[in-house]
Amino acid sequence: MRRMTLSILILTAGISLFSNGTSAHHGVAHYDMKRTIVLTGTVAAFDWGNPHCLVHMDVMDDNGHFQHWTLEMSSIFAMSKRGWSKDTVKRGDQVVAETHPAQNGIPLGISSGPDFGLKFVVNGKEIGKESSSR
Amino acid sequence: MHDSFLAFCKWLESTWWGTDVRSSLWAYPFIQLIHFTGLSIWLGTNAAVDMRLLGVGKQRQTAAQLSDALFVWNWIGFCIVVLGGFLLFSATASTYFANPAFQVKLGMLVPLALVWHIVVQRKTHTWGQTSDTPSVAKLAGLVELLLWISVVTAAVEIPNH
Repeated sequence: MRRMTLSILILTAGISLFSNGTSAHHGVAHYDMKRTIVLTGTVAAFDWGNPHCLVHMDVMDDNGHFQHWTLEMSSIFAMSKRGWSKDTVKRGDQVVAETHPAQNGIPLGISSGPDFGLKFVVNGKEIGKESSSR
Repeated sequence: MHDSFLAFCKWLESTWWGTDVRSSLWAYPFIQLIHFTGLSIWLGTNAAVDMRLLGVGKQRQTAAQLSDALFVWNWIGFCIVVLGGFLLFSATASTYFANPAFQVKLGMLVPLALVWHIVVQRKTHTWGQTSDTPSVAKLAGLVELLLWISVVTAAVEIPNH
């Protein structure tokens, strides 16, 4: 009986060790959360939906080529609390957005999670602020 | 095969329930709640019988008695978890389809764990007749526990891919 209890305890400890690493980041494991870059570009599309909203934008790089970026945002609930709605961003809008880029270098970044929201400026107006703060 | 499955995913996304879960303020967290409630009942009843097969609390009742007592709750939990999961999947089916963690979870681990569970549940009638279960029963119970733990591990990795 005691051996059984011990092995179950070890199993439980093993599980909690394993699960801590995966759940702690809540979906940000493949982004470089220590780096913030600023992207300036034009919105190609805006997906307002669960589990997370997405902003698709075309950004001109240093060589004059367009890069198509995808910015991951949070759920409709979380974004609404930060002042967003489905009409906040639309195709053709000029945006300046902060994002944590993907670690593998692809044009993907995370700009909003359940517990954070980076700066996002649409046509000169910063979202989530009462007036434009420039 | 891949294309027809992708077309099915796109169709699911266009249904009223898929659209609802994706676009509604409250539907998504509520459907998650349903999925997690279902999985709590499903995994809880599975784990209780597995532990009994392993010999934990064997004085209370035999594994067969416990399995019979929990049978209905076990499969009610299964129905709830599948319903919640289906609704969550429908919201953005094609992105889940392309997600490697989801592919491992639903394509490999869930079918494996489910078949194993059904076998163990049936075998428990024989194995769990006495309070001391045979070694094969203990091993089977442990394997089931580990399989469902791996399913949950794959599930929590879904947001990371």
